[in-house]
Amino acid sequence: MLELINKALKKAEILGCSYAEVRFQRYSYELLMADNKILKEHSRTFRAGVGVRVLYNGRLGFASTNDLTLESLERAVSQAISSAKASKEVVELNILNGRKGRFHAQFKIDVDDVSEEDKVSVVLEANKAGLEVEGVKSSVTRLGIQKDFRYVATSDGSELEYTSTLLGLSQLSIAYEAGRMERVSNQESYVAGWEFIKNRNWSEFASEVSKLARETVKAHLPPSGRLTAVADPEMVGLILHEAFGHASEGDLVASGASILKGRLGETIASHQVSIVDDGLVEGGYYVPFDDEGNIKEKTVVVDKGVLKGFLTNKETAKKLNLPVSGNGRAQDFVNPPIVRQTNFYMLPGDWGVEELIREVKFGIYLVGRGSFGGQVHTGAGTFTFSAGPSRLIRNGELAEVVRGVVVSGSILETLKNVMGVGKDLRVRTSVFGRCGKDGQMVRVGDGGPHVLIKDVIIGGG
Amino acid sequence: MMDLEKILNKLLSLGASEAELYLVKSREVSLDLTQVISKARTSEVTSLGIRVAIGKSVATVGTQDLSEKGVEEALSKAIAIAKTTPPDEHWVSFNKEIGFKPLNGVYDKGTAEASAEDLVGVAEELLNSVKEGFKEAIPVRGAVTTSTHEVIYLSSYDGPLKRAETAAGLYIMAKVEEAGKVGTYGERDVKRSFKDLEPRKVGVEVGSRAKDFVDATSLETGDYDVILHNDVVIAILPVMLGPAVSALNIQQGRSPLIGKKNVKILSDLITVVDGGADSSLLGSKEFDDEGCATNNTVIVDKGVLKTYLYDSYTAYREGVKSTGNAVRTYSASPTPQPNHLHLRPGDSSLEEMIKESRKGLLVMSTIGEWLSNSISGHLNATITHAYVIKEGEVVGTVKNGVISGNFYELLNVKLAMVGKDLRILYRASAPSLMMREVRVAGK
Repeated sequence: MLELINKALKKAEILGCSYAEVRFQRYSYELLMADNKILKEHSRTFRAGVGVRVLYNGRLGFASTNDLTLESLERAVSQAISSAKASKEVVELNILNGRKGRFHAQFKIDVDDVSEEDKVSVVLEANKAGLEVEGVKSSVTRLGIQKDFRYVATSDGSELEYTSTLLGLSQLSIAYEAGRMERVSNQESYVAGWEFIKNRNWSEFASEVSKLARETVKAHLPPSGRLTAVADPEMVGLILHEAFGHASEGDLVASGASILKGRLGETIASHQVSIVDDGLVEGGYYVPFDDEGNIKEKTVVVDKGVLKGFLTNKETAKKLNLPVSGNGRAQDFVNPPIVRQTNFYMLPGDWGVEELIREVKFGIYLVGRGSFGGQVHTGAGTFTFSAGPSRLIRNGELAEVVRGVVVSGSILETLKNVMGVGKDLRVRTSVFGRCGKDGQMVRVGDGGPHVLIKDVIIGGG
Repeated sequence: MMDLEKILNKLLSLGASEAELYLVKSREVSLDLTQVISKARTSEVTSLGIRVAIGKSVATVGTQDLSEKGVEEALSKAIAIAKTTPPDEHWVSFNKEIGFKPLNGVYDKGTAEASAEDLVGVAEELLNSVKEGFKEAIPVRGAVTTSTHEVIYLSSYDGPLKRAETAAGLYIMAKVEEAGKVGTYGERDVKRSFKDLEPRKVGVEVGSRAKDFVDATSLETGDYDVILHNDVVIAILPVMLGPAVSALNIQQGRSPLIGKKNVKILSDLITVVDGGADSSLLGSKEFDDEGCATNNTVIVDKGVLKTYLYDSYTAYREGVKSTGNAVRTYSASPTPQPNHLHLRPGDSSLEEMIKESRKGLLVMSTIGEWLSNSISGHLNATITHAYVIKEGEVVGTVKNGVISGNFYELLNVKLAMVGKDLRILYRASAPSLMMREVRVAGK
């Protein structure tokens, strides 16, 4: 394969490309899904293919194929050049010194050595435990296992490869009471081997989700309007990723679609807020380098409230006159790299979690667990996301559970409204969820400490 | 082309009691736009979906590694998984009623063969027309794409069946900056052929609307007469109604519509059809993803729920006929989903709806509607662009606020008017709707 890739790179050079990158990916995904005690789905996906990106006459073009013959790869090179000819924007790339390296995410038990029976039994047992909670009508349990091998070779001399395994289990429970239904879900994923599944009691995990669903179906909606909130690490991760992470993506900044354009050096958040994007962090997704062959290092985006940097790839780094931060990521070989977050999170501060809650007379404790995700309009500066079952805070103490919480707001206002940052830290990723942008979905990680925020817009429902 | 018959026979010889192959060839060409055409790409992928049953144990394997070794591996994996899968007591068989509805106009050869360079004209017209909408408006982000989807279906019961569909789309977001304030607006168009796209109409509209939103203010929390523009209805409908009418969700106890067949669930102004076999609607196709002929299925007739949507698994389980709504990717089993949800237009114009609103909002675009809860029926949508109406007149714009309420109340007792302005996008088509006394959270 590597020989074919080198030939494709040569071909691009011969045809007059000033830059080329050829990526090979081999990927597998296994999904087991139990639905009310029946193993409804056991599927396995295999993918292998090559993506080619070229800079031809100062213009970028991309093509891909999963027919892994020399003829087909050379055709992809020609199609990439033809695509480049359709493009009207002349771009320059921030060409780096080529980097070579092999990266392997750590694991103890190879998932390929685990029997199908063992996987089936984990899912069915957890599913059954989820259904045993009184009032729970529907229990859906998923086990997901992803293996990814990526190899990137570029005409500027990079040759990088990584392998990683990401796996996890998710539980969705639907409780029913007096004509009302409520769903609660949770998942835990980790870059690891089968030991991550083996060393944990997943029946207990599923059962807890069901109990929460049972509690939630009886709960009320939160009051609509502006409230002071303490957000837990998962919620903070989601807020940051949606509300700020996307706005810090270099392509959106360069095109003017981000409200952060032209604000480097400005104070854009409370002085307690520091935010980074890091390719290798405990609990997060594994991104040692990006799909342009740039090493991903820890990028400081906000330091003590001051906007310090943006996430960049080779193209946007040049446009914005910033270093390449290694954020050129592609969903797979079918797609070209675009600027994406890796693990985007807030650094811990110095407040105890209880101290944060004690500050609130009447407000809400926003819990990320059970959230169904969120979305952002980077141009208008508005974001929205759902929280899981949360709790009201009354006189500095956690009170009753509320369901159907939806949070929305303006990006910068929310960060300026941060009144306190906890000293805890948790970063998470997911083998089930991905983040979408321009039609591409990639795995990301996010998180942070507990955070106290005033004036958050809460919509109940 | 691969010898699918041979692969099918191989599966049967390896011990499968039933087998099914689903081969998809996709081609996508796209131009990414900023203020100019900034990037272009062409992707071609062929994917093979393999499903086998051994008795009542079913397994699915999808592969894009179509080398001999890759396919071989996928076949043995499918058999290995099926052998270890506990039997599904509800399993009857793969779809046995294999057939198709001939449809004209779902495939356009010119679009299927278009190169990136062929789309340049559309993209340039789109970019250039933004300024026609408002002279200070500039395009910020957009795309022009074509996609082709060719499917071959073959099972141990019948086939092969072949179908092909094309789609072409464009999207543009424009921005206007005045005195430090920014207004934005985005709009899209989707057709079967790239020659039918209306770049100029879309470009002019986003330019002019971006200007409208420069002075957008924050919304006050309160109860409003809410007009959901057709685009917003199209965003909401598949999220709320799609999962709720899926026979799988009904059978598994996770839909608010359990036991509601022949019950009035929405206003009698509302009729919703799955337009699987209506070639004037996008999303239509000759057969579904398990070789069953598609239909135009009336789901809600004047507010009364008439049927759920079935694939063969859920249909066999209830002893009824599939509605032709099996939807799958190459790597997953089919589930019943709408092919295209079509909410039939009514007879009110948008102007009439505005005139009828006292303290009102004309909601042009929302985000996060997919966060709504189709199981409880609770709708949430965050407004990004809305016109404010006072006593029948548009008086300004707002750029935030959260609409929340029960979908089955909003489209029932609260529904006042159904527009005649039908808009067709890929997953759904709908007119604008006007509702009374809707709670919107803002400042």
